[in-house]
Amino acid sequence: MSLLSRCKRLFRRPHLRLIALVGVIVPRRLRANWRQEWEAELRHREVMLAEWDRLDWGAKLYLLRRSTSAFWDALWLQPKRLEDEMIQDLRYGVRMLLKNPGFSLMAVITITLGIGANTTIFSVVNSVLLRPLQFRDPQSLVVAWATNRQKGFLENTVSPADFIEWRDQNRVFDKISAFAARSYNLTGVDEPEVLPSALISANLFDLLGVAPALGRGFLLEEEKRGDRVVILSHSLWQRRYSSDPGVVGKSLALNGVGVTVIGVMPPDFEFPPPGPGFNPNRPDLWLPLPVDALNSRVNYLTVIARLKPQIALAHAQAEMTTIASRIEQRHPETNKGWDVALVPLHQQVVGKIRRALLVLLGAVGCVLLIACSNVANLLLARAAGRRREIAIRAALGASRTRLVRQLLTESLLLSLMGGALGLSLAYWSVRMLASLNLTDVPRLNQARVDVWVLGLTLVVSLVTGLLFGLAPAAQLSKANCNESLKEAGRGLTGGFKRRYARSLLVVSEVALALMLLVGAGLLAKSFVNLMRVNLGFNPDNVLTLTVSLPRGRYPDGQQQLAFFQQALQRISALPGVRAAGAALSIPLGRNTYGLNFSVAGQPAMPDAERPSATYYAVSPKYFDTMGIPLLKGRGFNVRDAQGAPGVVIIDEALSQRFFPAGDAIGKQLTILFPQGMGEPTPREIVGIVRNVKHYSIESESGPQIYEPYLQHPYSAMTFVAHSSTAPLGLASAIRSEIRALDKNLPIAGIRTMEELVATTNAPRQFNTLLLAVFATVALALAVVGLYGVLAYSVSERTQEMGVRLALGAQAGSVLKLVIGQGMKLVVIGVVIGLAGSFGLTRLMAKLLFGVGPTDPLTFISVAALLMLVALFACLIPARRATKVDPMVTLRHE
Amino acid sequence: MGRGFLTYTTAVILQAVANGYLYGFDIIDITGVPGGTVYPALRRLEDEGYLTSEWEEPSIAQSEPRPPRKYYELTREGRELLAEAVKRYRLLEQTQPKKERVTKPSRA
Repeated sequence: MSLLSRCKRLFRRPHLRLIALVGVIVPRRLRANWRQEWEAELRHREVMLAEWDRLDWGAKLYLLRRSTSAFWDALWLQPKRLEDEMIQDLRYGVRMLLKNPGFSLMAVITITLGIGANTTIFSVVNSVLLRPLQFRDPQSLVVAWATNRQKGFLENTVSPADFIEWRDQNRVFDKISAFAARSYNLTGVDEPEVLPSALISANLFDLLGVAPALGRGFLLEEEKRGDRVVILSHSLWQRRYSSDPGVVGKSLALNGVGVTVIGVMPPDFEFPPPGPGFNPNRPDLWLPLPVDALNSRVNYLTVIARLKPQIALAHAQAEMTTIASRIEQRHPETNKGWDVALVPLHQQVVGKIRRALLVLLGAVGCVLLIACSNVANLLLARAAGRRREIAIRAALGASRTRLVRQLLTESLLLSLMGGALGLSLAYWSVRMLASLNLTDVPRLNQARVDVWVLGLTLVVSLVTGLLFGLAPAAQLSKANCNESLKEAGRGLTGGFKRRYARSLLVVSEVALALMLLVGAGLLAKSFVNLMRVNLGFNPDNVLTLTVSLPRGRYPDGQQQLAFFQQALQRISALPGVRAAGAALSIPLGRNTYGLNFSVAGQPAMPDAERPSATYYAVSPKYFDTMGIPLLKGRGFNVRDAQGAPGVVIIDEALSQRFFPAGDAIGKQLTILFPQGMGEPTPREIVGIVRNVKHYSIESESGPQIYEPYLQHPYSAMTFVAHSSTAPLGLASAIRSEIRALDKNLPIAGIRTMEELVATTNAPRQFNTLLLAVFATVALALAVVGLYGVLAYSVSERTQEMGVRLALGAQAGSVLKLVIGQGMKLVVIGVVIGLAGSFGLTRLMAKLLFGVGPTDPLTFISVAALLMLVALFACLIPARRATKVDPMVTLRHE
Repeated sequence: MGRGFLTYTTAVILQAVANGYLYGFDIIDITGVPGGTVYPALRRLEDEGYLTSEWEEPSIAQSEPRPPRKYYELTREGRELLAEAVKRYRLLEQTQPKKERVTKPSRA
């Protein structure tokens, strides 16, 4: 048949086509009759018109018009749907659920927990891992780090000299920009303030595809000339300038120097994105980065680039490595061993937390599975009680599909109710998690229950409903109607198959719960290990705060020193202060000074191969305040001042590596300061202190060098004060002491050392806490499931127990019988669970600290805990079995 | 159920059926009421028990050929309702046929 004749056929009787089409919305039950009635009328008219020879266009149009009435007819039939089988099933289902409130409540709570946990974690995963970054075409953005494998620097900042070479030589990047974190004192206002800021290349906003909401971005000329211009963050603009659009063009004072505001960024602009490797302080000020002016070799720039279209990451990496080796050949003294590492921006942001979240996702999946099997178990148990009802319905003519559908409707009803409640549970827990303010879990604070999460919850609810509804439905519909009717309420134990199915469910619940418990146990043990790590200092009751002196009013070292000395005296004199000190940078703080050094008497080597150490400039009392123990030699004192011979204190790591004979004291060491920071003169080692954890509690810190700040003053120092009471109580007293010295100084970073330690532990705490919660929920669900199965089995076997007792069985043996039945399932589950954990825990090896993924102690203790709890769950129905009155059951017989 | 829905239109449709116009399209033609009103009214009257419906003899349908048509007939309640309607809407009386009513379907 040709296409044309097909089309003709299609349009020859459009009125009949219309009826077929409208018929779709007619309730299915009525549809066939409805269509026949309309078709018959129309075709009857057709035949009549044809007989009268009047079947022309007009008549056809008349038929078509007449057939449109069918639409209204169909609409009027919609209320008939209420009498549909589906609605009937639903009404019946609601009635059944209300008749058994205990069962329904238990099932709904179980599903709520399962779906709530899943929705929560999915919301977090969605926000943290899946949501694209808020930049144009974010997948082509990469971060370019300097990397040196020999020295162990994997993601290091870049020097301006290298950045310029990368920028000018590469052919793989569309654009490449650099930025560096700074902080500026906003002065000339009533309440001076330290503002986190960023120096950026003029093209950074362009590269990201974000334009200022107000005013304009930086011009290349402004970068080259080093113009004094600034762009404000949206939040600063709102907070300080009450969202005044007239702020553009005005001038404000930063560190006492006037700069002109040229723009305001949009509110959702978040750069650098939260994530490891980036400064966590969201900048409030953006200033041009004068790269050409600072042709220096100090590594302080973070470099971000956008790949050209069609350039693969591997290709770009290869080109950058070539460029790096060219630089290395030309400047071996500084660049030997330095390469470039390109990391996609998204991976940089989420890379570290990814595994932890996936483990959590797996964990909540397990919780959901347990919840499902629990509900399936409940439904199976109830199905046994409903066999008679079902048999009667089948005998009265209900078809098998109808019965299955009825049961599926009930389970879907349960799961949707659980889903709705789970969603609200998730809503609250996501808000709670987001408000925890864990800066190390990037973008967690933006986690929301959104449309995607809603959709997923709906799908999960429906699938779980089908899943746990299917098993009992299939079993019931097969039930032999004659047998069930004959049994007529006599409580015989369910068929072997059904008991088998229920046992299988309990075994899998126990196995899943055990795996979760093992995971949680391993994480908890890691956490405990972490808490036990010797930090090298004592964080208890230590308050920190940072003051940076504007160079305008404190131009040289003497004045800076005088200020800090006076402040330290005042702080030490405060009541409640046991000791006070000051340092250029503190452990677990944000600043790190990594400097090269050389040891006298050891062969000279090129810069690039020189050892490096973390550098601290500290006041004499710093070690006492921080509780850093002196292992050998002496600490600093007031005589180690300018004019006196230069001295340093090293840590045990440096001593062991460079003075293995233990003869470090008295030797000379030269800190190779970069230009402008200090003179590389030899200094005498006078003491050895314990190594402190500088970057994180988990990682090794490498060698450390301390210099007395009295010999080498800096303009910004962090005060540390050890108090005898809660340290935060000191903050206002210290603040007013500093204000008394200089009322224009802003104070930043008021935190306790304990807070800093907690912050570094935050992501781990997050994992451990969540997994522990999920494991507990899983354990509770599994135990409830076990209890349910046993309790039901005991109630089924009441007669049997009665007969046993009547025949002289001791209570103890009945107890043993029931407990044995339950514990058999538990032991099988535990064995399977242990085997499963053995395979799965290695996936989380990277999340563990100080404990192996197959730690036998954890495995054994978790299994023991689970069995103990399970034993209690068995005990209750077992005791009930012994309380059966033999007379009652026998009378029944 | 009360008889609150006994509107004039409903009464006209009842009268048409009583007068022997048993098929939906015929009722539409004779009353002039649009199909979108006639059919829902027929369904409601049938649900309430004032009308019954039957499929016509398959032999008639086969001769054309098409599926059998559906025809509607008044029940006892339907006749009572119509009587009440006639009292309420005097105009209806004029459409009462003088001759014997046709009760069996035939080709119109």
